[in-house]
Amino acid sequence: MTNSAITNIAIVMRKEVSDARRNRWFILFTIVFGGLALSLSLFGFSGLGTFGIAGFGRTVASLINLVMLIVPLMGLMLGAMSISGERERGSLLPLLAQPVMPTEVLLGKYLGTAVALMAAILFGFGFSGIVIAWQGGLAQFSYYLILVGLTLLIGLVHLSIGFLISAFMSKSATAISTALILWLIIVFISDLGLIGTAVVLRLAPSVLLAFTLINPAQVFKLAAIHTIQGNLEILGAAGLYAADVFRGFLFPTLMVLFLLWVFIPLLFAIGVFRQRSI
Amino acid sequence: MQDRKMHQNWLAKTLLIAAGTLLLTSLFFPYWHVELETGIYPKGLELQIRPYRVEGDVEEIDKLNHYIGMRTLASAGQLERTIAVPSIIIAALCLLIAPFVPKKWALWLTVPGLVFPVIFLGELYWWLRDSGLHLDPNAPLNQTIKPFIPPLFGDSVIAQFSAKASFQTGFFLALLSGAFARVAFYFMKPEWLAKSLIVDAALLLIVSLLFPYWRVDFETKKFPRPLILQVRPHRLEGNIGQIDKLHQDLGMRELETAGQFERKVALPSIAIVAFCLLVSAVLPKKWGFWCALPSLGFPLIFVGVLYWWIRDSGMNLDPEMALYPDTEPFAPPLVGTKKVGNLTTIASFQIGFYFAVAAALIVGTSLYFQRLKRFNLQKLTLIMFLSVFTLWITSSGIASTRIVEPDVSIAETLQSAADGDTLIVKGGHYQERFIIDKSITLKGENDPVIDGSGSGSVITVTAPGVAILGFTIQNTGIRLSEGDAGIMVKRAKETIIKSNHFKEVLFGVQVRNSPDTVVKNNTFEGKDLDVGRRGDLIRVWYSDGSRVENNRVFDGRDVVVWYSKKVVVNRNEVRNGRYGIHFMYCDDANIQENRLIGNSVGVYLMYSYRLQLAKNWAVDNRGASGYGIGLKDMHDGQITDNLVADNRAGMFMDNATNTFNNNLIAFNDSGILVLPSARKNEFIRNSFIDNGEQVTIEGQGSIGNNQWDGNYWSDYSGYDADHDGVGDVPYRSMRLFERLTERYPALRIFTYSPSVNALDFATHLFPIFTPQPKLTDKVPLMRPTALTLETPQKRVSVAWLIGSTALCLPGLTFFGLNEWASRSRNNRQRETLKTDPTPDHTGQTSHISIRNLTKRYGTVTAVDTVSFDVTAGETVALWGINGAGKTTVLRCILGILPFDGTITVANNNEAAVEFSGSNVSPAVGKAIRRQIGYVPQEVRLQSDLTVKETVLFYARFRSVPQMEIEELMEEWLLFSIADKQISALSGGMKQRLSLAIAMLSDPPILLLDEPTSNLDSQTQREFWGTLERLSTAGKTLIFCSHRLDEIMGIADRVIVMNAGRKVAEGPPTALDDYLSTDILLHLRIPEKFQDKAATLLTEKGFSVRHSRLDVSVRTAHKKKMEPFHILMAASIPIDDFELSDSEKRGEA
Repeated sequence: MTNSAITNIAIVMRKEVSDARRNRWFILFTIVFGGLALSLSLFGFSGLGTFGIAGFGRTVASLINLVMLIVPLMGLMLGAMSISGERERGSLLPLLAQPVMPTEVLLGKYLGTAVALMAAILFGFGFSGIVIAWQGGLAQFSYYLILVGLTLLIGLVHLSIGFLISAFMSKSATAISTALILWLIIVFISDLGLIGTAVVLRLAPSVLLAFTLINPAQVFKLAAIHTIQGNLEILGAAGLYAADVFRGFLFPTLMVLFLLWVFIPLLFAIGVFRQRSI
Repeated sequence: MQDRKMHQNWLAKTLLIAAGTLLLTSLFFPYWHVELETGIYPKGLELQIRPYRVEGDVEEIDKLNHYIGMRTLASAGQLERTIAVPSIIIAALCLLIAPFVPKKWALWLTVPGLVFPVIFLGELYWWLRDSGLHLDPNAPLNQTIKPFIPPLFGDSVIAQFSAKASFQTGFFLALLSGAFARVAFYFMKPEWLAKSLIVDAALLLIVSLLFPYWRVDFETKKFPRPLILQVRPHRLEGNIGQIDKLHQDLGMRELETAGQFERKVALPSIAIVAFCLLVSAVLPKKWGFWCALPSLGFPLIFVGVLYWWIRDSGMNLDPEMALYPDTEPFAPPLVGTKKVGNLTTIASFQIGFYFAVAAALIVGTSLYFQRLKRFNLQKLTLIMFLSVFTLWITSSGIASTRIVEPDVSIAETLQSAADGDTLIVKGGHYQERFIIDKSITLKGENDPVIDGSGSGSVITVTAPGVAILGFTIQNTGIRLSEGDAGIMVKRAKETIIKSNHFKEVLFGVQVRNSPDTVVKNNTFEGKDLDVGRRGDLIRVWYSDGSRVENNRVFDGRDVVVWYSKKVVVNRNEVRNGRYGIHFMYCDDANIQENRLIGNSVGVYLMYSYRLQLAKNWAVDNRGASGYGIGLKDMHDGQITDNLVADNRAGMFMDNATNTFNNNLIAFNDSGILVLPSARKNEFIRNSFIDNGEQVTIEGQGSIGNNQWDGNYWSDYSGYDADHDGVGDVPYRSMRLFERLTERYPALRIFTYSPSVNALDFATHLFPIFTPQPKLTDKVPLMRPTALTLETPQKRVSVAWLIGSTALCLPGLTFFGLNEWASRSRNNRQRETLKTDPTPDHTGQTSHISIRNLTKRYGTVTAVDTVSFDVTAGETVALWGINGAGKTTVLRCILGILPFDGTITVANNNEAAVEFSGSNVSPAVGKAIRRQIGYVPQEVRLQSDLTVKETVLFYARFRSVPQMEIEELMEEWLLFSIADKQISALSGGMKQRLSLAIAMLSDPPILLLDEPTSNLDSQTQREFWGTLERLSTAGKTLIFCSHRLDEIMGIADRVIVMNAGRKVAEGPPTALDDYLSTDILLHLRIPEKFQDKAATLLTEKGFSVRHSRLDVSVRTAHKKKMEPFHILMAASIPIDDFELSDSEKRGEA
């Protein structure tokens, strides 16, 4: 990558970052996520205070649930709105008329949005962390850090997918609805479908696991539980199967899956954008 | 004298007759009476005993007695009751006929009447004792009650009964009869007074054993009724277990440990004393005196020993043990009331003691009559003192104490020790392993260390009654099969292992076949091995009645208690092991107040009955199975007041039937994991708080035959309208996902997924999906049952605080420090831009060559094989109607659309850039755009940026120096509006800004797409003026337009486009020729005017086609306004019009 490419990416990225600050959707997401995470850590303790026991598992379970619900939505929406919105407003044309490559524009936009998204996530986790610290902390902070890291990753994954949607769409409304549908699929429908299929066809744990690993949200869940609990026993037979098959490579495998989920949609998005940038 | 004797004789006879009559009369009255109070019979139960009959609530009492394993009342003393009436009548007759027989006979005839009350007492006591001590082991409640002696007189508490016994009229009559007989006896034989008194004393002494000597009541808030301790010379009675617990709080020793020796020798001693008394009655005076002497000392010795032990227990507190370590040593009272902490003790002497004192007094009196005066008082005092002292010494035992210093081995010293010895081991390092085969006490002072050098067991105990206290014992072998232990106890009952520290041990303490062993106050730290290779830090096998208390156990495998009944495991702390506590085949165990934290499993109990599990903490046990409390094949247990939190499964039940009260089960992944084999469990007043699943069924089946009513469930969503603390609608546990996972366990992989919540939410909304409830609580509590736990102090976690603050920083920078960040960035930008090499386009000219440019969008061809050239400095207009393909050509030149054909852009400084193909290389496109400024048709800049921000943003892509930007802004009159937002700009300003942006790096080529379409005419003129200046300056300009005036004014050359094709090319003047070609003018005219319009236009010489939709007029380009004028003159309205190419239209 040449110097000018990096400069151009940096210019677009910086613009995207400053735009994100004014993006109402983004601010809304940040507030919702931060607020929920904060209330979770507060609420998670309210019951405990009376009994004086730390329910790390429980707080973390709720956090995992929250992340799986909100962060994919954030990533998908921000990604989907990014290019399609500019395309619709017409502001993409003057940008592309500059001496920049479409790839540089897309990467710049992706990185800029990613920075914003990560800032929002860190903000939410940071504040909840302070609340937790005030209440005496929970287990090891390093677990929390890993959970934050995994959340950043799942955010990036869905941002990539969002960008892919965006690259196709010339109307932000279409992009947003597509993103919403995809969010429903990732977070709810695919699981429910799998549950139904497993019940009807009596899927073996191995098959179920394989299908589950296709879903990035589930990859996040597996990685988070594995990190915090040290094993996947809470996930029953399929969890045990995963631990048994992958052994020490479970976490690396999950990470590879994550990275694939980040890069493959992004590469596709670049390909599509190069074909039809305006 | 004779008179007096006569008088006495007469008196004696009268007394004897009275005695006989009284005895006979006594038959008509009850002798003894006992009242029982128990919860089941609020009115109480009564029992009256006559020598020949038992009366009262016999049946009910038999029923009660049956529960605790006592025999039926009828079975006791059958023979005695049968012979009672004849015997009493005979005794009474004897008394009655005594006055009428010679005195020699008369004396003997009084004896039955004399001893009858004593015999009755003895018999009664015997049977009571017999029934209380020989309980049936198979009785239902046998395990909760220890053998006891029912009271002969006074009140006492036995299990849940309180009994009050008293003597009745019959007995008093018999007693009076005896007394009369006794007085009569004296009158008949006054010279025997002294000796007969001694016999009286002996009897009294024996009778005294039937009653308690000393009693102390303990009052405390903990217990609703006072606890009672009764002391007889040979045994302790009452609520000993509970009193021990109270005492432990203060750090006092257990009662049973006090005066063991004294109690053992008491009965034989008293028997000897009594025997001596009886003997002294027949011995000559001189010997008789000595024989009678011990009975005088007996009450004194009793008081002395009692005082010694209660003082000892109060003065020697063990602060390590105490709940209240600050308690000062104190002397409990011998008589009277005393308060220690919140414990009030009331002590008093009892009948037994008074009898013994009376016996001593009688002996004293008798001795006085035997001319005691011969001895002087001093001598007597000395003798008494000596005898007390001797008895004292003998009672204290004859054991000796030895000291072991570090330079001597303990094993050697042991060899020369005898049973009962105490070995004090001084602080130091003892590298040895040894066997204790004598009943000794091994006591460490200043923390001596016994080191086993890493092989075998360190200490092996094979003799009973050994005590090992105050050592550090370390470094055992690591052979699991051999059970290498810190202390191995084999067939050595009543071993005490207390206050030791075990380090680096495989097994800590192994107790095998050694009942009543005590393991207390020890700390165990296992070897640093894998859990599988570690040993059990405490293991008790086949040792009934053992106690494991107050130990701290870290990093071991299990704490194991197997095959041992009535074991007590209290107040231990077990961390980081496999099974915190593991029981097998241990009936009647008591497990209380243990802390089991962070083990694989907290408590695992198997194959035992009637276990009491109370006030334990099982927290954070998350191993493979991760049960807080596991119950397998456990029955009739009481599980109360436990805290079970944060485990994988709070409780696990497999084929178990128990009662669960007041437990707090919170934050576990699964609150209770039940196999359907668990039946008839009762859950009452427990709190289930925020468990992942409150109750999980493992396997197929129902758990409905357990009782779940009256618990608190944190996920209960009902209400309590009548405010009685109980929910008005039943609690039903019926989460769909839980039911699904029970049937299809593989689905657990979806645990924690939002979809699962959605599923459960759906079942609430659409009851059609609602599964069968797993369990129902008809009377759920609205509030958790109060379980008082110590709340650890919250302290801010510094690690979390620092870490979390660090996490917040990026976010803070991002949001809060927006202004600061952007300002500093601008400054930096300025500096870097100044030093950047400036791309110099000055004097640069470019020409463009386009060959066979074709662009298709799907099936639509937007541009069709267009070719033309634009030389440097030329101004070329693309002219055509909307949709002719002009914009597409411009975008292809910009390189932002893929196309077919070639475009070459060359300038006089650099080599030509040629690009072609369906996929423009991005790098080429980028290079091209560096030379091109582009002004789009509609200026769509981001509306929330200011003019300055916008300019700066685009300037960055072209690395334009700050100076030039400022010059440019001045040149384009943008300074005045620099801080205005784009949204506030007028169309002309926007266009000006757009052109300024296009000119940012002063590129040689400018592409303009309908630049003036949205401008008013004044602004348009200004704009074209500017363009002319640029053109003069040598810029190559290509612009699109559909307006002739624009083209005429500025273009050097015009390329006419139509439907994607270049249809004409030439100077603007040549446009006229092209424009003379015909076009079709489609006029939309209201239907009623259409005919008129068509006629009118045809008359004026136009070729008109008239359809329902419109009126089409063929005309020349130049004349296209004419039809309008004609129709307007005729007042025919025109709604709309459209132009089209005549040929194409014609073809269509």
